[in-house]
Amino acid sequence: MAPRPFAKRPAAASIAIRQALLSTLVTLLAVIFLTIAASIAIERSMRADMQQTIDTDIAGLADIMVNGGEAELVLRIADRTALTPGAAPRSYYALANQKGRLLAGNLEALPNLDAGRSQSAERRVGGDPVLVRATRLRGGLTLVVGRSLRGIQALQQRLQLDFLIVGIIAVVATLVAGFAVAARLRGRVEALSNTFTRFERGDLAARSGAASGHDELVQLAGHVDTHLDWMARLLSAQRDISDNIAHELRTPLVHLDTRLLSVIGHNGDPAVASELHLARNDIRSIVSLFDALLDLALAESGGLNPNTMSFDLSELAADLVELYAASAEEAGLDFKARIAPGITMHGEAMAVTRLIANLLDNAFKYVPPGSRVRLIIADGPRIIVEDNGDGIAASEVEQIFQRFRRAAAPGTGHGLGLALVKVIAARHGLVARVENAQPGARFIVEPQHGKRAKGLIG
Amino acid sequence: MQILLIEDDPQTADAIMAILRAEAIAVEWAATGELGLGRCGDNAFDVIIMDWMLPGISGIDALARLRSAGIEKPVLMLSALGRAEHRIEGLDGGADDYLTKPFEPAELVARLRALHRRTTVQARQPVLIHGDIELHVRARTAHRAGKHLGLSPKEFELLKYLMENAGEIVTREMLLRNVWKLNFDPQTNVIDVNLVRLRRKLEDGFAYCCLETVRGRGYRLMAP
Repeated sequence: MAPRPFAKRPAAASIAIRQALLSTLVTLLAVIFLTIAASIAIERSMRADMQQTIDTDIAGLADIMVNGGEAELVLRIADRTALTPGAAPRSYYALANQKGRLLAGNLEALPNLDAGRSQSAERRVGGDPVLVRATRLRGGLTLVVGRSLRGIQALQQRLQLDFLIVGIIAVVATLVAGFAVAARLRGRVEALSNTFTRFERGDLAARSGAASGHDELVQLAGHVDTHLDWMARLLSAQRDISDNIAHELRTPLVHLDTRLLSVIGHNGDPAVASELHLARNDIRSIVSLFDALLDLALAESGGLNPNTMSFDLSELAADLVELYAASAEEAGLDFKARIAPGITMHGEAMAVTRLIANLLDNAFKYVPPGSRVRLIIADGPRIIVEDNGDGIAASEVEQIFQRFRRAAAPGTGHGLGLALVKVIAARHGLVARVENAQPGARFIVEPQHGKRAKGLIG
Repeated sequence: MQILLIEDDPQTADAIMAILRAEAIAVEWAATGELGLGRCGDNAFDVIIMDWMLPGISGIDALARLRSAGIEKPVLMLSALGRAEHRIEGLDGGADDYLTKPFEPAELVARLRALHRRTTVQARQPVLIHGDIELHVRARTAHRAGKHLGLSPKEFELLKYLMENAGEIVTREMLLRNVWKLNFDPQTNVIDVNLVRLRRKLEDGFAYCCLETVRGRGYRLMAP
């Protein structure tokens, strides 16, 4: 299991927040698309209407030409151009003879259009965008009729402004609603996540307690609670079993020890007494080995300890250095520590003390007199114990943290010290490894992959 | 000193009673938590020895009831549960000390005497005096025959603990737990070496020694 912090993750990492941002983006794109589509559709429709008006006007003027002749046509065009445009789009007219001379109308020149094919196009007249059509009448006359497009453009701009306002409202509304939903969702997911964290930190009664509603998260919370119930039962059963085994094993050993003591008391033979004392020591060894194994097994299987807290690793290490300094001097070791001040971590202070003590015990046990031993505490947290002793054979490096693994070693010990280091490290989201310090060995306890350890785990 | 022993296993209880009586310590036995609780209010007892795993009400529950009833008598939790976690649980549960079975008879006696002594006036005095050694608790200074002893903070704590238990054996485990606040036993001989250093500071320039090593058991600040 990886460490799960109580600390809030950055907002960008939250699925719910990402979802809210995505919804907003989709709304924004939808509004832009709608604006463009509406704008194009309206423009097309209005142009078609305008084209039809122009064509009707041309048809009317063509009729006048047929019925009244050129003079009548010139007069009617003059009537039309004399009209002051109101709300209607401004109209443009031109009538030219075969030679291209203008006979009537308000256009100063004929637009460059193929009148033979009644060509229609958009042209600029004095800065005014105009839709015009030129057509050929009887007698070789060229008639040009146009309508200003300015009105359509103004309408489009107003439409776009309206869409922009509606768009902003929609995006803001989506953003607000999205974040509100995201915050609620995030809160619920975090509540679930924190339930696990609390459980992992030893609060076996921690449950999500989400009861109302039928959505997926409530269902998930239900599964979480069922799972935690089951885990709590297992952990409690495991503890009970190990307690019972410890009790049942110790009781006969206590009786045996008492008998041995009684025999020692009643027997005057020093040789026998000496053997019996050795037998009593064996009993102690069995018991302490058994305790160490149980400690290790429970720590490894995530036996949870509610006694976790934030503590000052630097201070804890400094106390241990003081405790070990005298022994180092006595053993002729050059023992020094480099402890960065104020490094705190969350977890079981006593277990971490034991981790460092085991590393120091290990170094003190294996290096020859005169060697150098260093304890380094750095940010991370990183705990390093290095020496310039004989080092560790390459073949041993992989197995050194395994239980009952002892180098061809002087002295005593269960061969569980480094195994416990590894397990305690893992409980705190740290990894223990050893490397060749050339010469000597360097034991390093640090967060996985250089990440910061965030807290104790089960 | 009067002891109330709450222990369900008769054989263990017999052995404990034999040990205590050999040390001229009066002891009464209760075989269950319920019986024991009934006797705890009796002012005659100075220290209670409580077994953890009792039939019926367990030692840790009995202890909780005792404390919630306002009985603050020192309790030594005696247990077959020897893991570090159990010690923490026992001590957090209100026990004043925790000893695992099997134990050295001398260790049991030393712990009981230390617990008993803690309740006497000596332990709370601002100045501790033992022979020619003088220890000022608030000023954190120590003198022997008027000569200032340059002790480190831990050495001061160590000497204070030894003086609070002057004349009695204190075991390595007692020192680890009470002075260094450790609930495990380091493989390196840290306690012995620190004691040797303290002894040097205590005895340097003095004709007679005052800190005695009791082989296989612990240390004792000797009577002056």
